[in-house]
Amino acid sequence: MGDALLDIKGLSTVFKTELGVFPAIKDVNLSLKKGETLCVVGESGSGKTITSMSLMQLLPSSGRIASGEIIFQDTNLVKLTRGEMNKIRGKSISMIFQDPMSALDPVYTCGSQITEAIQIHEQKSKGEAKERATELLKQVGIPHPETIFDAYPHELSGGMCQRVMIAMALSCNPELLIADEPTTALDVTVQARILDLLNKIKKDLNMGILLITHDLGVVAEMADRVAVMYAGQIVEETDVLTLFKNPKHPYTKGLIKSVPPLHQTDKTLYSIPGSVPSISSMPKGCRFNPRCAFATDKCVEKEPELQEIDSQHRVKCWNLDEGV
Amino acid sequence: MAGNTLLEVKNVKKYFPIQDKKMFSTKKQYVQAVNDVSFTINEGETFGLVGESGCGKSTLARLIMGLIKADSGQINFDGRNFLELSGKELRRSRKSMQMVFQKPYESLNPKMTVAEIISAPFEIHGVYSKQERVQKVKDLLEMVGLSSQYMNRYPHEFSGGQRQRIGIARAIALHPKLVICDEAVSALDVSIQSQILNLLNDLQKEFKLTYLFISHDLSVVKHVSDKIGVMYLGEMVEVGDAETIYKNPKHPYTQALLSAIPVPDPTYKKEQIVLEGDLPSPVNPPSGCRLSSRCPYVMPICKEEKPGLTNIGPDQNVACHLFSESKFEEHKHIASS
Repeated sequence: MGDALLDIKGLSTVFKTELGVFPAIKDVNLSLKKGETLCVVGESGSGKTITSMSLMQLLPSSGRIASGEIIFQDTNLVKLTRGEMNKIRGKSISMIFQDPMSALDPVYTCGSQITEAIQIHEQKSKGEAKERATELLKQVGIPHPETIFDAYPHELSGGMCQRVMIAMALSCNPELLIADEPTTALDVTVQARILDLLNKIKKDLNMGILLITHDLGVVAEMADRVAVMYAGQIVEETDVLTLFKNPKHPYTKGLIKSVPPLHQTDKTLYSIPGSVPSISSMPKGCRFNPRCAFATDKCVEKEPELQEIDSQHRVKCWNLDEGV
Repeated sequence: MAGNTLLEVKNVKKYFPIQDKKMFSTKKQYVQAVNDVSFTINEGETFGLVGESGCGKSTLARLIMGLIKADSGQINFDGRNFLELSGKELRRSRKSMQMVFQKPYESLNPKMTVAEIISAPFEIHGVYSKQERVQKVKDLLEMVGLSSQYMNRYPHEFSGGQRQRIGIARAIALHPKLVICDEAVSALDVSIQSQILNLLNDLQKEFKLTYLFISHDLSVVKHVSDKIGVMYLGEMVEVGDAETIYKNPKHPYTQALLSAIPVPDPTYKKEQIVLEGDLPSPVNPPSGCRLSSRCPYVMPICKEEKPGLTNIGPDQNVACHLFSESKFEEHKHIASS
């Protein structure tokens, strides 16, 4: 593992709504090294996507970064102008979106969408760009790259579209790849192949991958380190082995227990009561307290810090000593 | 769990005609959505139907509900052939068959209150008086874990999980015998998903419900089902006891499907069986066995002859030439390798 590639410090992003201004994510700290996969897990509404959108500076007009720094290779992305960010986005940092069918533009061929990215960032002629695009399509495991180059997205299956997306993301040899639920819309057999592909590319190019997902199975297969998000905050962060073997935060534990086990037969599943609070009505104190089985008065009054329990493991909970 | 047969689907076929690309062409083409599918569900049982998108799961559910008419075959529900019923009779029989839909955000009418939504089945079938209906709605809401105070609210005021509970309340309102859950938990987060799965399980115990549970999530299907059926390109490739199939899948497609599930355990070493290529188009499926274009064990016979469902053990049926009698040697070979 090499040097730090990305360092997010105290990032908060706020959204303006009719009811006022609310923080969608609050005080998020993350770091990622070269050649490492960091998974961000959480349920919908936990702020995973907002984190990645803040990172890419692609927030909708109602949202803005309120405080914090995003250090990518010694540059603070928050301070960059739009033009400067455009040079980084798609070149050093690129992104794969959730729904490959709708993320590709239906009126352009796959090939022209890939060459567009290449020609924007690199001084290449049309012919060179086409050559590079065909090579990329081959690299992501597309059987007839020349045919696919001239195909429109609607002519391809979901798995194929996702491969085209990945090819596009890789076109300028990015150092950081953000994958926002890259396989959620795909079938399991296709998902398995896309995950394999991402792992292979990571090794070949020594990229950092920030993988956003809600599927703990995907986390177990892909991650080196994991950050669990709940209601806009990171509640636990550790390496993947510790997370599954020795989870500390009650939410993480509940999440792991809620997945129907494949190799056991127990008819009643564990479930976390209640649901994720909305952005406008966050509970006081620890944000998980209304759903937590171990909540005490302290949890309702005061918010716990994300504290380090060993060098690789940070948890945001008051009740660690009691062996929750 | 073995009871009387509640639903019997026999050689059901549904082809959808599609327009030929050429103008004035008289050649007709068909999407072979469901091709010669047979299975039975016993009372009180949960039958899980799995398969990837486009394999015909949802079409099959709609055929069973009678929302679309099958081209041929039989659907016997509670002793009557659904395909022979007239519209009026069909509607009456459908009372004992209800459905929970995939998207909780789209399957509830946004202009109706919760009470109106849940009492709609009463109105359609003309049961209970007005006062009784109100009481029933309250009972149903409590039963699915919602407060009866919510009855005059509108769907947009609820979260996804709560909406799915409303959908379930509507489905069980008429005390159906069979509830078809078409991807009922797929749109929900894990923590909410487990709440709904537990609710479905409790309701099954209380009302002796029979479920046809359709999902692409294999671990969820495993969790809820007594029996499962695996579909590929409109055909049933393996049917049988859920436990047996998950432990010892025989059909190469089932094996590939099961080995592709990501296991939430970083220490788990999986051996993955990879199917080459993409799903063929259901307009021009491969001849013979439909998996023959992607199967790692493909033999010459697979491209020529379609394998039928063969019983290979207690409660396990496979449609694969590897297991037809003449090929028993290969079967042993595969089993040992």
